[in-house]
Amino acid sequence: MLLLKNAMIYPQTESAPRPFPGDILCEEGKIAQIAPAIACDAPSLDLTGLHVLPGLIDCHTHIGFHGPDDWSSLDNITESTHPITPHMRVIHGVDPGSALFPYAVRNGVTTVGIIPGSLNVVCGIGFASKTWGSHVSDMSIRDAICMKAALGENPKGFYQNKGMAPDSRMGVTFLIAETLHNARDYLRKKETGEQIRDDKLEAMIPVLRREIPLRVHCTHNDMASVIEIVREFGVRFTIEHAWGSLNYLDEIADSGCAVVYGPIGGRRSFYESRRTDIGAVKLLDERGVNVALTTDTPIYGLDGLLHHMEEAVRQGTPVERAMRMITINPAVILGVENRAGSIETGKDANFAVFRGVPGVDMGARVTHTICEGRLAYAEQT
Amino acid sequence: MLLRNALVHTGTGETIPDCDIRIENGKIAAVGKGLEAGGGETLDLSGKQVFPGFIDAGDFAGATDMAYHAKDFNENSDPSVPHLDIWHSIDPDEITRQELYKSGVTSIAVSPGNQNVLGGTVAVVKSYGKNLNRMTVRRDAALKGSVTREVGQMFGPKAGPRTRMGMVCLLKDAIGRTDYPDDYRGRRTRQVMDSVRQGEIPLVVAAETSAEIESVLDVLAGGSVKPAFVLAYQAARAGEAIRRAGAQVVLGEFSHYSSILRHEADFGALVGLAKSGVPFSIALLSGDATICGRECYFWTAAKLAQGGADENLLLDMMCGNPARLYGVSHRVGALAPGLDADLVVFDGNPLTQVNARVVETVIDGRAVYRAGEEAESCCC
Repeated sequence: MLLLKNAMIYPQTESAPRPFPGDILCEEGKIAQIAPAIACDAPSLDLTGLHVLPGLIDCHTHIGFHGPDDWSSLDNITESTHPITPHMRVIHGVDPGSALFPYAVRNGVTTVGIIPGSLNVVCGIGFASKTWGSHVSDMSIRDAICMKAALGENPKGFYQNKGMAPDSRMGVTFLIAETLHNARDYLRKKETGEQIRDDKLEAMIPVLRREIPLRVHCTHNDMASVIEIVREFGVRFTIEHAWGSLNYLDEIADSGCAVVYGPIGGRRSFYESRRTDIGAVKLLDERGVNVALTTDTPIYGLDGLLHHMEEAVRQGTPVERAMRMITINPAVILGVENRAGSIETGKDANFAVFRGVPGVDMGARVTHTICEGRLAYAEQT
Repeated sequence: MLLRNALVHTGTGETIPDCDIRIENGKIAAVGKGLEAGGGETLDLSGKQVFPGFIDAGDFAGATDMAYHAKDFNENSDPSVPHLDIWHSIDPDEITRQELYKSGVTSIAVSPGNQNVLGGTVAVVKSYGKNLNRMTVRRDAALKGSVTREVGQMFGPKAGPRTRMGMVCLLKDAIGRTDYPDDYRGRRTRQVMDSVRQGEIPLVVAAETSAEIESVLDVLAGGSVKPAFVLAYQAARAGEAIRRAGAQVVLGEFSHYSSILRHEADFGALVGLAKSGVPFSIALLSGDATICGRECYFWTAAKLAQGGADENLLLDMMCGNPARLYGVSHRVGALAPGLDADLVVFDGNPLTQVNARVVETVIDGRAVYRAGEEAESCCC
């Protein structure tokens, strides 16, 4: 048991959109009670003057494949031997010993989506993970949460020098459409009782059945391509990265997809990152799109999740909306909103405690991280 | 043009409420209360705050193109090329495309990359424009060096240097050399190296670790070279040596690839070093493979604020310190009569409030950016 005393609580719930002062009782890893003043002889942590958010969430990471000094193994996040690998499960590639997990905790991040990289057109299956633990099976909150796919420069650039498809943007989009069509044909045959087995197409069935979203790395006009391709299948999907969204606000909103925006902080570069328009998240949010922010860690450190949220505010997003983009919104994308992303009784007792209000005060920083009711990080003073 | 009734942060330690700024011919003519309007345009800035345009104290912007094809910031034929001038590699369109002015940055110290022990001289230019001559504030503003692993990656497979020992040895030779051939290259090299040796321009050396910093300071000891360290993630750990040598720190960008974790960067200690009197500047410079976007400028400021830097210290790092480092404080880095009219209008104080937004950025007296003038959505 742990009692958090005298905190300013930012619950991220629809019913309590504004922060309020109070205590939080954690019991057996869950939030047992939230009240103005809880009388209890549990060990307590006085958080007077501090601000408590749900543990932060980055739903698009490639954490756990290497330590901070071994960038070469970034290659390990995609089985880049064939452009279509929907049967790959990223949970089989993650090392719980990665130094990036404790770094996540230090920065208030308690839940991450770990998904394959984007060298393939259809890359594989991601999972939702805690940021602490010794065994991936214990860390996993929910496996098989999504199918990752990628358009544009990454698969194109990777395969075009190997003398195999795809070699162009139209080649990439064709492959993703072809995979969906083949999977639908496969599913129909199975449903008529035909005895067939194809591991790759089998892995696509949860997407077709709307059980998991297709999460598509795409930007600029690739977003328009994806929206067109998936329309006839009626699948759930997300747009990942989403640079250039300002030009496609209406199409994105009408498509019903969610958007995972970021990372930003790179130079304006050719094609995909020539327009990093994080101001778009405000307009997408206003149109009812579920928007999350991502650092794409290890591309950017998880310390940068706060800075992404700050930059969204700096470029026009109201702070209370921006906070949701690193808490409850990504929880919904991961399908773990029953456990994470907001401060409500019964949810996992994960919290990021700040000195200064994130998104308001320059220099706001994480002073404590609480993981399932346990003080996992406390700033040294 | 007269800007009226703003809260003016002069960049020299003063914050003046209800203050006016008169701009004439691209320069600041006067700063003070109740200035005469004269005949020109008047802009009421009640409720707004005005800062000197910020300086990005190190960047490759403009020395490569959007496609990252040109890569004109490293001359990889020779590890020591102090005779080269980055100015000849700058494409103004590419600078403008990086949109630094949208984050309030109005001047950039364009630097050679991190692959040469001595990579050439630094040019301070404005962040917006089409004509490089008009954008230039100062050429040969510093000599850029590097002792990071990027030197070894480039020259190790060639004739070296491969190790930090080799890099520092080469640096020592270049600093100590007095005989130059009497030809164009020799004369130019002597000119640059003499101004470095005599402390007329600083030697800005890329160094990530404290060991790299300390090695460089060791070979420079006893001379008149004025060193500054860029990137400098572990500057705090080498703080005593930096303080003793009178060196400066140009903090590079921290966000890519978890640099903080990799270098165990301690922002509390970095701010402590700055408070002890070591001048700090903020730069977007990072590893050669990871040039940073404009957003990272304020992210570094936020990290320093997390470490305890107050708004005055931050403003020094963003304006006065880099202007003095590069010998351009007579042109930029403050709001005072005679200086270039480079300023940023915010709707709050961006050094204390995250939600303070750029309203307008002015370079040489001309508004180069006004918030809201870009279409929110493309309708065509």
